[in-house]
Amino acid sequence: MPDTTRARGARGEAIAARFLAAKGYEILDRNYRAGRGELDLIVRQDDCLVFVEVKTGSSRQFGPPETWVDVRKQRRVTRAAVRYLQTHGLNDAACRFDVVGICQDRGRTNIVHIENAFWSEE
Amino acid sequence: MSRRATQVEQQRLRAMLALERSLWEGGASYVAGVDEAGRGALAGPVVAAAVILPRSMLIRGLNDSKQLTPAARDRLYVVISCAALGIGVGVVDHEGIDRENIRRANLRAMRQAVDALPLRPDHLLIDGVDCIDWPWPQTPVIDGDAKSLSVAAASVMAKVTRDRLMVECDQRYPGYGFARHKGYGTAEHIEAINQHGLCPIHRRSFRVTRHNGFRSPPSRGQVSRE
Repeated sequence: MPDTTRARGARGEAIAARFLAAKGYEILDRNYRAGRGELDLIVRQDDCLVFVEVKTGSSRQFGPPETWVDVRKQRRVTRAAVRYLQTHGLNDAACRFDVVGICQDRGRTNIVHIENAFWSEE
Repeated sequence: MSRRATQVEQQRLRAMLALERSLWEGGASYVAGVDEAGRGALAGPVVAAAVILPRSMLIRGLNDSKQLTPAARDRLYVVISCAALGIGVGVVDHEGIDRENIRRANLRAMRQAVDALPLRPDHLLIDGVDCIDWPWPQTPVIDGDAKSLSVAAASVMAKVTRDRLMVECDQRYPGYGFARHKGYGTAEHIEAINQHGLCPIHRRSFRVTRHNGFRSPPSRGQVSRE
């Protein structure tokens, strides 16, 4: 079996989780589904809840760009996050959105962690 | 980021959503920004991108791609690809550009980008003065990448995608410096053309490449050498 996109994504999420745990974040949830949206990782740093999107690429940088930009994606990250907050009764919790980009190339793994990558006004 | 700096940044981003907001308030749910990269280059494709941003999202640092460093664009490329509701990319190569003309190739790339979106947008905000061949509402916005966050996002996606394609072209056709100037007419590039002649991905229809001492322009598919 060739490396499927899904397998790569799952591996990326595992790497990101380990990376964040090593940075001192507490991992609360992985692959949380809320309706059509999905949250890759939900972690906590002190009192701040962090929703993390993980982007995994294959070859140098992020692979042939057309291929991974074109992926059908309808991730409603913020809406999923709002759902998460509601179902867990955390409406007033401080939260932020981070992005972790992972690219693996010939056995080497590069990780970029972008804190506060975007804000939601909902 | 300090609290104050965060507020200032959020203010700036909110101001860049003014056009989108008026469309959202008019009932549109999906507004796509559309922009292109590589129009003025002497070689390589023209790349267009269309991006639909979620209503409530402010992406830190997002701005006109020309105002950003390459490192900042790479960072935003990752963030936008995570945050956007939909992204489409269209590429028209040098042959397409020579066959039509740059303006039409450009509009076709934009159309392709919009077609590649996973959702049908209710309204397009297009950088420039032209509308594209598309049966639904659209608004051309002069200087759109500085005025609209969606168009700025599209400009970043188009620019980064094209730059990466040009880095690949550099490996296929070394000696021109495509990895550095991305096909634009820098002194280094012109010098390389004068020395080695054109390579297959040069746009033969561009006058600059003819002015620089090329005797035989351009029957398609044929590489002219000095």
